[in-house]
Amino acid sequence: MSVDLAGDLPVILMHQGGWDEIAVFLGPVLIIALLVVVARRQAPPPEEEDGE
Amino acid sequence: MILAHGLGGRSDLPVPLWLALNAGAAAVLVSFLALTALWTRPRLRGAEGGRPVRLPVPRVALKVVGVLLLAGFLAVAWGGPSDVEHNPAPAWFYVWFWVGLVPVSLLFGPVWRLANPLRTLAAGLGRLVPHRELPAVGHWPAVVSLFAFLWLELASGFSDSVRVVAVFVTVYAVAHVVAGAVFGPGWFDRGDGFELYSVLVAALSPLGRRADGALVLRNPLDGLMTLQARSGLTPFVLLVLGSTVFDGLTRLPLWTSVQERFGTSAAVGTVGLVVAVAATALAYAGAIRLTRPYLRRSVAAYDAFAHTLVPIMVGYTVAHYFSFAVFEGQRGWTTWSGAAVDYTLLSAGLIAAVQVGGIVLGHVLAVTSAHDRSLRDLRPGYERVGQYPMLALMVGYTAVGIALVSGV
Repeated sequence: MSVDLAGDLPVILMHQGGWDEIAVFLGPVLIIALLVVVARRQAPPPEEEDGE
Repeated sequence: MILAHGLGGRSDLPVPLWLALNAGAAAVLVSFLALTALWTRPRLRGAEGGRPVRLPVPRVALKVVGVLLLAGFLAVAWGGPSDVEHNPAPAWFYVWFWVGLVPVSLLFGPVWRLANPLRTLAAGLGRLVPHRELPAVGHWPAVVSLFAFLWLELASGFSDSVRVVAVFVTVYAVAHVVAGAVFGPGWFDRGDGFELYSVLVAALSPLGRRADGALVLRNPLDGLMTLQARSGLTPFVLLVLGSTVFDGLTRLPLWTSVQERFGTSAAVGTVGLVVAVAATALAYAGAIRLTRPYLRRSVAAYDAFAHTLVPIMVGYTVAHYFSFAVFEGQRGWTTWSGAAVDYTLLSAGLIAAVQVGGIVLGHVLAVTSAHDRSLRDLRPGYERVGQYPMLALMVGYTAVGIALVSGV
């Protein structure tokens, strides 16, 4: 969208935001989710001895 | 061009945000993979590490300079002009002192502990008043005193008032000098937020004290291992981290929208600060909860990795305050000289590089420190998978940190 606010200088309003910004975080979110899921699934049972 | 959502946001980064974010997360992940392959036994020596060096420590001179600086500051803050444009006291306090503590402590170790004028004055007053035993309060008084400062700086709405800064420093000084006189010098280790902050940062300094008292040059990660996780230390570090998150948040359009809806009062700022600190702390608590089953039974889970948060804290601080220090620090003399602040000293590219570099380096050091601790504290056979929750936390902190400094 272009709005002529100053009379002679065109001001261009650009939208940032939306799915493109969410996608930016996709990599870190996927890494975190994977690490958390694996950590939960492979957690040793509470009664397991330390093995020391 | 006017960006309708985020003034000067992504353009501050020399690379696209998605690349910076994913590269930062990948750097943390790759560091971890390299560590698990190459660092297979505990190597850090903590208080036993370091090579002795002979350096003169001008203790008396530092104490005298500390007291003179405090006296000079209070004289200017109370006696100088009351408007911030003509009084350098706020710049001295927020930039020269608060931000300056970081490079000074990183380079020279815990010198603020020697120069702290409140400690010096309390030692003098302590000869005149009866002593009491310091209660078992851990570092919680330091948490409270630092929160008071952070609230003034970030949430109060009158942080740049010269007289308010004067009142805050005076009240802070009187309270800690009296407490230090009554409870002895140990008070400052537990209760003085600025001193504890400088000591934490100084743990990453190559200069430090070994267990036998010798001044040594050491691996900064050995210094981290020397930190004692008393009650309140972990919340203290999380408070600093969370406050930096809030500081970054207030530069985003999201915060502007919040203020348009709820106003710009101190109450709104206070809620924002508390929420940011709580979110940071909850993320840490969640990672510890997932790590707990993997830890040996003798290990105190909540504090086991507190020291590994310190490089993250320092990295965030460098990222957020580097340009602030260079630009706003000039007000420490331009208010008197009448010169204009020179905003051309740093390029946008250099600022962005320091921001991303500070955050990523801080996290890589944190991962390294956490890995070494994990080799000692995790159950045998679970050394790798047991680190995943803390690794996830650090990837998350890295992504949020880079996103915040990018101004999205």
